[in-house]
Amino acid sequence: MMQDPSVMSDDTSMSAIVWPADGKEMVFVPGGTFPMGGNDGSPEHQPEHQMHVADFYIDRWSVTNAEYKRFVDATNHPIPNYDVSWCDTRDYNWDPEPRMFPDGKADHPVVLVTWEDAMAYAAWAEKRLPTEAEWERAARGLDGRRYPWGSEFVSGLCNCKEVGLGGTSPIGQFSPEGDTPEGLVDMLGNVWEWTNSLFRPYPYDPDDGRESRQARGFRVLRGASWINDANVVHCLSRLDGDFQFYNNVGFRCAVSPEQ
Amino acid sequence: MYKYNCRKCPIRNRCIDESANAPSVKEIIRQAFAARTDTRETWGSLQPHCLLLIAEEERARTAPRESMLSRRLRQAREAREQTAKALSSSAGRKPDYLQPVSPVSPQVKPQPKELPADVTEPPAALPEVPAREPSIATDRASPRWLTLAASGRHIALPANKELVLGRFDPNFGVPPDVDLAYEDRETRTVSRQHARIVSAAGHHSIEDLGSRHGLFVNGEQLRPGPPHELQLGDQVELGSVQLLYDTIPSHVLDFAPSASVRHFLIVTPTGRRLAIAPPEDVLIGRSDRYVDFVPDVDLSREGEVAVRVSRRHAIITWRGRVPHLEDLGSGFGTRLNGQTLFIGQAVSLKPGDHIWLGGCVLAYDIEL
Repeated sequence: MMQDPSVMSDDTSMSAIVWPADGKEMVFVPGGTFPMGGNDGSPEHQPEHQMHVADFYIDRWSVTNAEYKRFVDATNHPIPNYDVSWCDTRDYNWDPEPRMFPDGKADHPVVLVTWEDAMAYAAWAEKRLPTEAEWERAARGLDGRRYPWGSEFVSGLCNCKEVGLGGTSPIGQFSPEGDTPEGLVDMLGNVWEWTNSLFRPYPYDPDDGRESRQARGFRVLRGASWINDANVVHCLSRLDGDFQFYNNVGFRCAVSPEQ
Repeated sequence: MYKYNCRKCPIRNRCIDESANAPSVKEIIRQAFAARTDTRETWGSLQPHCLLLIAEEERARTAPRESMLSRRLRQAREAREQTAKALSSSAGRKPDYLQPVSPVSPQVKPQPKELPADVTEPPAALPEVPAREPSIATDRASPRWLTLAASGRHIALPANKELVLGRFDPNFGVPPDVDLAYEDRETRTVSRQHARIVSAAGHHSIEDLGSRHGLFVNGEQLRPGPPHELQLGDQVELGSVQLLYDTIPSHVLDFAPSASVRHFLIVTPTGRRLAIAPPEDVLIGRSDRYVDFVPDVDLSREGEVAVRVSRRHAIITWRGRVPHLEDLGSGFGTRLNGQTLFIGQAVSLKPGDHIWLGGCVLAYDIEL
């Protein structure tokens, strides 16, 4: 039966797409106004303020080692392999000879990536990094819930310190219970995710220069990681990425619909 | 029925461009989407060559077996009801950050920052450092310290210890031994764990701890690797904070404990300067209005940087007009230049010493 698209409601077509450039599933997140930040807890995410974001697509899960491998193979980008005193990289270093991720970690999110690495991946995949507001919209929904699954912390719905895995987990280990209603996986826990935004105090204003890609400064990380406990693991947490890389930091990308 | 919604497609224009339609038709299609007057004919003219569908078919052909990952997620998807979506219109020009990332060279790494023109003449900005004698300057055994260009604050370097320079964040990370947050308050370029100074037999080496804005010695960024040994007169930069590696002037080193010497403490997170003088003991801690307790140096005024300071944290006593520091059984401990003090251990203070009180760092210095 044919329908007129101009009167078709949106849910007749799928809200997830497969992005041609890197083959990743992306989920359509309708824009709207939502409460960003909160009025309690860390001063970094205060005060609560209403924020409007436009429609966007965001990767359903953060970029995995297997997906990052396709990128480094295509571009000859340096692999995540470091020997430094300030970060335990042993379980996450890639093997330099075949340029291969660690054994058994194909489905784990890639870590030890810098913000510049994430931007290079996004450029290759013809995407961009989400803004801080878009990330929070995707994780909290328009109702401003504190966790992807609701308003209360439930241990065992995401990879955080309480679960005690002591490292990254494969994508989807906590699905579908820990997913957002749109089906976004691992928004909370597992790895912190790079965003496009510079770390500046709230209220968030996309036009005050904090989305500049050239400016110096620390980029915001969202989503908390396997290291963090329930005090930090919620959708309001912001961390300024004041390091090059870490063993609990990855990323996921976004795109905008064409106008 | 259409699998994908052309109206909210992120690559619709590419589909239009690659479709077999005449240029004039392509323009009509584009305008129809812009005016939201697209119909099933509009969609129908694009979907036979839908790039999303082609990519999906391509993926199905190259990866015939479903991966564990996609199976897990498909089961999750099937279990869940389709949620209603609200199409909200977004008008106006797209800001820059909504554009895809422009292709950058894959090896992009943080560029060494451009140095301000005046960094080549550091002594001009260092009021506390008098002109030094060449004989002392060439002597390797003479003790060294770091001087902050902006404030003239001195940082004493321990003989055989490590010292972490950085920025104290009460919420995340490990507090550094020396807190540069106040000097960096305008620019915000110092990382929590920015650099480490390793001391051995009077020699000092410095290494980058993976800081975002890098560690520069004489304008050159240090690469990961073995620590760089500091040479006398080296200009060290942590982000935009400049320090000078220099000899401690002899008159500071052997200052006579006379009455003319003025002693003071600097609360490094806020830059507050507190004069202290013998023979009064100085109790450092945090006030508690519930028990009506106020120490001589009340760090609760400094805000959240003092969250780990105990009420009775440490005390400075005077022995022969030389200040001595002692921990009073604080919860998070007291460190002097990176070395933890034992309870009951009183250590003498020398100019440039940094006193770490649960993350909140005080600097001790003198004026002659």
